[in-house]
Amino acid sequence: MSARPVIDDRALDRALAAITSAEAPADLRDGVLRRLQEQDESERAAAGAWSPAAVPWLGRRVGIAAAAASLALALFAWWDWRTPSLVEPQRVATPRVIRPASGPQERVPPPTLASAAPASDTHQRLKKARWFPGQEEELDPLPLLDPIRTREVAPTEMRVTPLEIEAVDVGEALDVQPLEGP
Amino acid sequence: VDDAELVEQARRGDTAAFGELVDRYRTAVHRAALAATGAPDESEDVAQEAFVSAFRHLGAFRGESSFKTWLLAITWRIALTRRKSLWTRLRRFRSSEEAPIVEPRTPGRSQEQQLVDGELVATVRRLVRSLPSKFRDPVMLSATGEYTFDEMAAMLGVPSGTLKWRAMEGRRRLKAKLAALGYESR
Repeated sequence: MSARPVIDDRALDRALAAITSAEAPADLRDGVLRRLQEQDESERAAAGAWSPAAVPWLGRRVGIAAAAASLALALFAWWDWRTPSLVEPQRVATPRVIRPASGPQERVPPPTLASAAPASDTHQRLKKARWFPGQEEELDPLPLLDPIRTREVAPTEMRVTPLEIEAVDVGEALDVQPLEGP
Repeated sequence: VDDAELVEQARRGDTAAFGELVDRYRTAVHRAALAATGAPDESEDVAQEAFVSAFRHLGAFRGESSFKTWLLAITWRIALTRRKSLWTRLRRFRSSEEAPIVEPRTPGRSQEQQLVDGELVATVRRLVRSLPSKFRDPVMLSATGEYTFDEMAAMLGVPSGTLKWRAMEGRRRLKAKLAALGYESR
């Protein structure tokens, strides 16, 4: 074959088609679906080997245990709500001793430093003062329970049945814990 | 069942519906991958990767173009990434002359003519590789006969008119190279 062939558009088209017109593999669909499945599995494994979905039997057991724990917690909460607390101290002020006027007369003990001072003065002192251990007698944190003030705010009661009000240690009555010092 | 319905089913996780889409467009995707990479074994891998990527990103398909155009754009992008990788370049360099040639089957042609055709195919393959990619890609894609100019333009990201001109210019350059090799051009 001495002469070179003729190249025209048709021949060029045929040659180019021979290069580019390869048939797609028939199992391309299977390959794609397999790759998708593999990716899903690897992602699931990477997301967490401990996930319940990855370990069905473990997931079931964890689910049962969680449900039992929740039920037990709910029952305990209900029991605790219904039962009065025996541990927590009752923060109720100790009732003051009140005796009718017909009984043996007792003098009101001399007022403490706090009660002797005028109410307004006591307030001022309480605003400024800090209550440190050892100062309970000097600083009365609750002026409303001051015996003198009590006598002042309930005059009608005293008129009907004269009462004698005993001064009590307010700090002890209210079970107030002193603040820590600086 | 049209593409939109299959896409909707595939979005809901129906892999069988997506398998139907794979069957519909496997040839178009495979040929685009082959046109970009020039290697049959690599094009199969690119095609698989393109379909998998399309399935993963079905939520991003808004239906502004056809599913085929969207799928081909994904394929082309993946194939270009593969083509630019160093490993692919090394492989192509090693096996540049070993790629199998699909003999053109033209009924009525003699054995001698088919031999000549085979020789021409090998020569054209070599010459196409020497073309700049801006001409090579339009020539290869249009030669597949699988895509409209609009689809090719969307794949390559150029206007349709530009793509037509590049395809014609690529063919002209090929002919010129063949003529330089002694082929009589008509």
